[in-house]
Amino acid sequence: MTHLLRRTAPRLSSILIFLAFVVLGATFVFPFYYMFINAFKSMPEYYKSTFALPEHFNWVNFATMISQFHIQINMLNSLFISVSTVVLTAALGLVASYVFAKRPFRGSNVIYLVIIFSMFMPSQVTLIPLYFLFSRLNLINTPYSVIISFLAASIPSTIMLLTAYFKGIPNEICEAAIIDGSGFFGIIRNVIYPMGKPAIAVNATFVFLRTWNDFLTPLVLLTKRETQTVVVALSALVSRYQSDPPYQMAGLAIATIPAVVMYLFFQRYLVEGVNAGSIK
Amino acid sequence: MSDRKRKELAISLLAIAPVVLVLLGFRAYPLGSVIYNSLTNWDGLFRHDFIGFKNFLRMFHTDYFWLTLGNCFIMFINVPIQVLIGLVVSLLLYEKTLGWRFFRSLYYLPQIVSAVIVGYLFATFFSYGGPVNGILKAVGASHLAIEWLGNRLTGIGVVISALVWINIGWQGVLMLGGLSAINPSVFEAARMDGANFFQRTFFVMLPMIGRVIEYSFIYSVAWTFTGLFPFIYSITNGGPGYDTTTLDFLVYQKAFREDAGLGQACALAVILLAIVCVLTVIQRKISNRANEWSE
Repeated sequence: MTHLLRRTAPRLSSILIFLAFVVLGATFVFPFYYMFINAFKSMPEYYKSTFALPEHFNWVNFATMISQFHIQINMLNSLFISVSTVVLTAALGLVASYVFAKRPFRGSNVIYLVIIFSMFMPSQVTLIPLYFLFSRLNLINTPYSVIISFLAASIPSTIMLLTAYFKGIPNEICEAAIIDGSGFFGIIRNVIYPMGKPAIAVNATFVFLRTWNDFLTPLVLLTKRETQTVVVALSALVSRYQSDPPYQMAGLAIATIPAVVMYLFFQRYLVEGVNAGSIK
Repeated sequence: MSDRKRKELAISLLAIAPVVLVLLGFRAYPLGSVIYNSLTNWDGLFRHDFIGFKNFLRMFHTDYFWLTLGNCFIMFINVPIQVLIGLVVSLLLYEKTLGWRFFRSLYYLPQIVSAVIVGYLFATFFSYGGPVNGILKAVGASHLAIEWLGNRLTGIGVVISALVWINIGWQGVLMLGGLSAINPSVFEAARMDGANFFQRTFFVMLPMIGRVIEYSFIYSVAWTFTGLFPFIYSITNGGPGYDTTTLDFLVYQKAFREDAGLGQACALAVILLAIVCVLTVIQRKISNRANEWSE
């Protein structure tokens, strides 16, 4: 409120701050700018100047990416894995967090703390046994091994966020729903889910971005090109086409675009999420 | 216990059962397995005998283990740099100058791009024929145009700059959130009392967002031990030799790229886990004491 009341005339200090922001901002824009302009160049054009704008935008690098590298298959793999993880995490997290927040029983707090504690365990630690477990289950090179790994890794932070949020829902509303005859799932459907939507959305945004961008787990569990996520397939592409930088840049650009689009739509949730703590 | 109570408890238990089962099967079991296997000579195929702490002892006698561990500690430099820059950015954003929302979004952008992609961008920029050397040559400093990723010092430097670059926005948003939670009347009171920008910053704002800074430190330090894999993979690939390898990269290297024996890779994973646990505990102790002093 106060910053609305305090009318500031443009002072020298705010002009200096603005200029500092522009300079810092340039370092954030430039790598992306460089990536996009070079993705549209032919090899001779690239070697003439890497900084200049392309003389004409040619889409051939992107076209080859689809017709020969079949990046769209990897794109669909990524989408299937991320969306499945988001949905499963939300469903399991919603139900469990409701219990931890509103129906505590003897020992539930201990279970809750153990779950939260497992958040600190890095995925490198569990990956070796997981690889052998999934190969015994014949799940290597299927999306399911990655979805299960992501689900297990995402549940602790999800439960922490949702439980904290659900605790803020007044007990009276839950009790009123019980008196109205709602059962366990009735309360979740009529009270917890509608009132908890903001936290569920924040969490879904983070889980989606984290799983879309994750590298180590799918790199280890998916070894066949046609099963890989877009980020993993791309790393193979980048090392295979060392001699064709514009093609590499087109690949990087293709993998970046979906995340940026997500960002434009869900930015609000990300800012809220960072401040709710613990998620990155 | 009444029938109704018992039924309610049964429903609650059923509701958390899927979560508990997933975590037992795919977090707890692998954790137990990695600890047990760190004590064996497992090679993934035939040998699987208990050999005690031999994997650990063998690891402690190699040069690359200590080199790798040293690299991890050098990488720490990224934490104070990104916290400091993030803090300055958030203090300036708090002044709410023209376009601050736009800049906040812009600085956060690298966070939503995959770390591998950021890594490849940095690798391209600092490659021998890349734009950084291009600029150096253009301004007549061609003697500075070196193989950035070809030696330990500059290779680690490039990785650290990528870590700082990707995290400034996260730090900025986090700390701006902390600043925004301060009651504005505190800020106004300091201003009325004639405190200038620096006095307000050091005596009002910093103490009040101490908790946030501490959280960001703890998180970033642990992250430096566990989140570097995609950066190392894409920027230097750990090389030359083990010169820029970090512990989390070494676990992958030993387990999935070299025939070093999975027992050894598991031992490395256990060391990594132990370090992360110890760091978290130390950080908590330090910050608890700091809080007692400030009270």
